[in-house]
Amino acid sequence: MGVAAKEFDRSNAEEEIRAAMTAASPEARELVKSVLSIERDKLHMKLPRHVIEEITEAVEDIVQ
Amino acid sequence: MKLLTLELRDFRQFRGTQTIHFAGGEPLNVTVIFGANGTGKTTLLNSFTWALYGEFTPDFEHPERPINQRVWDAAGDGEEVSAEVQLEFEHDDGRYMVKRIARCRKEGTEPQEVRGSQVSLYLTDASGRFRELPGAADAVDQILPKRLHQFFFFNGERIDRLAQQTAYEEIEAATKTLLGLEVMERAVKHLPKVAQNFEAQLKKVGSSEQQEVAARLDDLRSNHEALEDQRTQAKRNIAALDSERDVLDGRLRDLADARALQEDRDRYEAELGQTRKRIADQRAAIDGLVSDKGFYALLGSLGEQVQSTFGELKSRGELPTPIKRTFVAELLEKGECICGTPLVEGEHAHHLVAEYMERGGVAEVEQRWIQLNSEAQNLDRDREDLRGELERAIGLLADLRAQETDLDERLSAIASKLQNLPSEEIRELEKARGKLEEKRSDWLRRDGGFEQEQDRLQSEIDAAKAELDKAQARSQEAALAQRRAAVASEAQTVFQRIYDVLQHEVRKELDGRVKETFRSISFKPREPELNEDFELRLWDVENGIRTPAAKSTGENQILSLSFVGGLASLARDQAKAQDNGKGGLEALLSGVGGIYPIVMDAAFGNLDLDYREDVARALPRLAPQSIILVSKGQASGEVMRELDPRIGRAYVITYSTPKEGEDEQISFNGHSYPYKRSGTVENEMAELTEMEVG
Repeated sequence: MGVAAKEFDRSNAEEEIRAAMTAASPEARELVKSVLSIERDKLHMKLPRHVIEEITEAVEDIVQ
Repeated sequence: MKLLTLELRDFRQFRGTQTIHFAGGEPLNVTVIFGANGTGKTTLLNSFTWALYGEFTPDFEHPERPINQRVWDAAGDGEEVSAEVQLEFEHDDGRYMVKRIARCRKEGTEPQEVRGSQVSLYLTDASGRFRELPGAADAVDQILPKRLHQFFFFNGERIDRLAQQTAYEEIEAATKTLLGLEVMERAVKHLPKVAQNFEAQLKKVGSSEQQEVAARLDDLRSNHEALEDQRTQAKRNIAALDSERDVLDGRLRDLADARALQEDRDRYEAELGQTRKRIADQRAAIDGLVSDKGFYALLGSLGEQVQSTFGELKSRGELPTPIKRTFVAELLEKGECICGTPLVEGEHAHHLVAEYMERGGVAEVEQRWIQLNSEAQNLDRDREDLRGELERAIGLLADLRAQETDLDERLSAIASKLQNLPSEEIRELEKARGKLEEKRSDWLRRDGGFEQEQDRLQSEIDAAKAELDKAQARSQEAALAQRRAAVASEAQTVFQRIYDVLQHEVRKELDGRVKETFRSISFKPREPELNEDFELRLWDVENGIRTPAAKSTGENQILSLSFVGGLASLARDQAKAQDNGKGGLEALLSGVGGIYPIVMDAAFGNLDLDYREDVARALPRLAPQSIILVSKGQASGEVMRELDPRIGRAYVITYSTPKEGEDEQISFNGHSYPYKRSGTVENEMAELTEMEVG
C-alpha cells in the first residue's frame, strides 16, 4: 500500500483525553466507560431504545 | 471485509445462478468486470447493497422488480417466484455469508411488485459449515455500517458529488461513525437527561422535616429523663419510709403486748408478698398461653375440612398418585419406555408418555398432604388442651386473688387490734405506722403514675425515632440523588471535551490522508483540504499562496476518490488499533474501523484520458481489494496498462438481445469473448463469463 500507510498519530489526542479523564472523579471516569459501552451497543439503532434507563442504572450502580 | 464470492439467482437480468469469485491477494487485488452500458454493471453494484442492506442506489430503475423478468413471465397464475443474492466475505477472521431473498406471488397479468425481502446472515463454524446468526440486519450494520457503505460501493460517475459543498453532512457523518464520535455525540445528548431525572428525585425528598423530628425527639427524651429522676426520688422516699416502718415494727416486737400480733403481721406480710408475686407470674402465664396457642380457638371446623378433602383425594386414587413425575421424566430422558418402546421426540409413543407428566404426582406435594392431614387430626385435641390449660390457670389465679384478699383482711384486723390495745405507747406506734403506710401508698401510687407516663413517653420516643430514621433515609436519598446528578453532569463534560479533541484531531488526520492520496493520484500543483466544516476543497498553490482551484468533473472525481482512499486507510488503522486490544483509554479512541473493499461502477466514465490513467493507477492502492466495473470503451489502452499488473480475476457480462446486427466481441489477454450477441434469444439477458487472466 503506497497510500497513507503511516499509523494514525493519536499522541496529541491521547494526551488531551488522558488529561480530561485524570481531571474527572473516579465515579465520572467509570461512568464514561459504562456510557461508552451502552451507547456503542445501541449505535446501530437510529432511535436507541431504553438508553436513558440504562445510563440511569449505570449511575445508580456506580454512585451508591 | 474481504469479498469472496457473489452469487445471483434470477436477479434482474441475470437468469439462473451466476457466480463471481473475487480477487483479493497482493498484488493481484483487482477484479475487473466488463459490460456494455445498460447490460448489468449497475445491477451488479446494486446486488451488493441489496444483499447487505436491502437497498438500491437512487438511480436504479424499477427497484420493485428484482426478479428476472423472463422467470416472472414464465410463471403461472398464483405461482410464487423469487430472486436471491448471496454474498460471501471474510471479516475479522470469520467467513460470513449474507443471503437476501425477494419473493412474489404472480396474480394474473399484474406486473411484478415486490415489497420487502428476507435477509439471513451465516458464519462458518469450526467444522466449516455455515450457521445462521440471529439479528442479521444489525450484525451486517456492525460489520459495515450502512452510513459508510456509499463510500465503498459507488458509481464512479457520481462520486464527484463528494467534492460539492452540499456533501459536508454525508462526509461529517461518515467520519464520525468511523471514528466512534457518534457514540460520544449521543452520550453528550443523553447524559443531561439522566442528570435531570436525578434532580427531579431530589425535589421530591425534602430535608427540613428531619430537623423538626430530631428536636421533638430531644424534648421527649428529656421529659423521659425527668420522670426517671422523679421515680428515683419516689423509690428513695419509699425506701426511707420502709426503714422507718422497720424501726416501728422492731419496737412493737419488743413490747410484750404487741409482740404476738406483730409477729403474725410479719408472717402475713411475707405471705402477701409471695402471693402477689405468684399472681403476677400467673397473669404472665395466661398471657403467654393466649399469645402462643390462642389461635386454636378461632380455627372452627378447618381441621375437619382438611381431613375430608384428604379423604376424598384418597378415595379418588389421586393421593398418593400411582405414577411419579420424576419417573416419567427419567423415561423420557432415557428415550425408552418400560415396555421397551423407543421414545423419540415428535413421535406418538413419546407424546403418550409425556402426557403422564401432567398426571404424575410430585412427591414433595404428596408428602406435604400427608403431613397436613396428620396435623389436622391433632387440631381438635390441641384446642381442647388449650381450653383445659386456660381453665386451670384462671382457677389458680382466682385462688391466689382470694388468698390476697384474705391476707389483706387479716393484716387490717391486726392493725385495728393494735390500735385498740390499752397501752398508749402501742397505740401511738401503730398510729405512726399507719401514717407511714399511707405515705408509702401515696408514693407507690405516684411512682406508678410516673411509670405509666414514662411508658407513654417511651412509645412516643420509639415513634419519633422511626420517623427520624425515615427522614434521615430520605435525606440520604436526596444527597445520593444530588451526587448522582453531579456525576452524570461531570461525565457529560468529559465526553464533550473528548469529543471536541477527537473531532479536531480526526479531521486533521483525515485531511492529511486525503492530501497524501491526492498527491499519489495527481501530479498537479494543487492541494486538497478537508476543512473544519468537513467540506472538501481544492486549492491552487503558487509561491505558497493558495487560491480556490477551478475544478473539472475529473478533478472533483479525483478529490472524492482521495477522500474515499483517506477514509479507507483511516478505517484500516482503526481496525488495527482495535486488534491490538488496548483497553482503557484506547477504548475511547476506537470507532468502527475495518478493512473495506472498493466496488466502483463506471469508474472512468466522465474522465479525460489524463485522469483515467491517474485513477487507474490509484484504484488498486486505495483499498486492499477493488472491484471495477467498466465498459469496453472506458477500458482504454492506458487504463488497462495501469490495471493489468493488479488484475487477479476478470469477467465479462455477455449481453444477448433479440435485435439483429448487434454482435460484438471483447479481447482480453489475447482471448476473444462475446460482448454482445444478436438475435439469439427472445428476451434480453445477461450472462457472466470468467476471462483468463495473466
